[in-house]
Amino acid sequence: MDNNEEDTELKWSVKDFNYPVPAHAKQFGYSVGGVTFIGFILLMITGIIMTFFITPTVDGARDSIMVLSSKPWGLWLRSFHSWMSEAFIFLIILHMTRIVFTGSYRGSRKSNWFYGIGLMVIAFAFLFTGSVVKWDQEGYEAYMHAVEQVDLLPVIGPPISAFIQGTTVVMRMFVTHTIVLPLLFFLLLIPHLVLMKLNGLSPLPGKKVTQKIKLSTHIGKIFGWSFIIYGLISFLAMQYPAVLYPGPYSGTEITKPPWIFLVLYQFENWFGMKYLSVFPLLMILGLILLPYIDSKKDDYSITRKIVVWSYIIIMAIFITMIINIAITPPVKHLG
Amino acid sequence: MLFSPIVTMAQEGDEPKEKVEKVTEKLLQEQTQSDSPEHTEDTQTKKDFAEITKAVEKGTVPTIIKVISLAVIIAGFAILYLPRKKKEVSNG
Repeated sequence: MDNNEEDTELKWSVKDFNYPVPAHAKQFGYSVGGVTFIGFILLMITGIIMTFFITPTVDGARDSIMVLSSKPWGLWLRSFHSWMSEAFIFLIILHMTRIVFTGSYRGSRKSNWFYGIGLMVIAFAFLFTGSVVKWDQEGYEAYMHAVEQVDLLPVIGPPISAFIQGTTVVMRMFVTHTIVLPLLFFLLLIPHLVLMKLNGLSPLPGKKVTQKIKLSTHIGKIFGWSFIIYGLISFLAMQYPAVLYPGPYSGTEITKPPWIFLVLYQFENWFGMKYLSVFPLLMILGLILLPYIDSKKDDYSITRKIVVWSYIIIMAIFITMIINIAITPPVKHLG
Repeated sequence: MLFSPIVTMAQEGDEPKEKVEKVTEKLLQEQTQSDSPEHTEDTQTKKDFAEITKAVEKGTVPTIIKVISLAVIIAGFAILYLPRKKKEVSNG
């Protein structure tokens, strides 16, 4: 093989990587999935560094966070990870909203929608286990809610309940948070990304793709938005460090969960602890059924309009619930 | 069901489920109801978290972190909005 042949092959591979994508890939709505992915990488990096400093025991978890927080970089690291975890959920919801608005779960993209739902559920589990691992009052209250919910499950409830109780609870939550959930996340993320590549970027509703841009421009936009969003979170992490509540006191309930769980908090206020799990299960079921309800290719169908408006109304209700719970005093739910 | 033999393994040896369920509650009560000097010291440490963060915030490093963060934000705006050579390619 001579040098000219080698050059041709190299040129071909670079060009192939920087393939053309639809011009609307420049829009924020079509970049938010990539921004979320970068957020996950940052969460992973900060999380891995934190594992060197956290003592995952009932006695040591909170104190080890205290020690970590007594150093400026440690305080930033933990606060950035904490703020990022909440922003990560927000970005996932934003990504999902764009997909609902553009109907990008229809046709060949249906299976990728299901992978996305799975990833979102795991992200919620990340947020939950992360808050329990620090084993402060908030973590303890979240944990006790989980125990009471698991106890209500038939057949599998009692063994799982036994598994998550006892002195090793923090260690088991830590292992779930740092090993089990990341593995599950990657297990779903890989097909999610592969299917995205195979299907290509979803079209803008009602518009034909006429212009294209290079993939590098799309990636540039993703990084641009990521720099702004995560730079802001980094600044806020130092300005407003993540709260660490006092050590847990049994029998009291004085904290509120991270913002996304405030919707559950409202349902718990209305229907009690017994039906708390019913609501997220219904939401997941609704999301799973969405591609079956709205399956027509027509962007202007009546079903499409009903789905989009229902989504907007449900989201408006959730935002109202979150604000309402955020401004009202905590309520005792645990028995 | 496949995993139930594994998850039913008691954490403190082979203790019955009821006993296992009590462990967390008991441990917490021991932590919170003790009047020992160690416990008083521990409670004091826990109360001091807000003071720790305030002390840390006064240093130089937090300012450096904030400056770096702002630089990252500005870099993001530059990536998004600074005019660059047009890369659009026509379809076909």
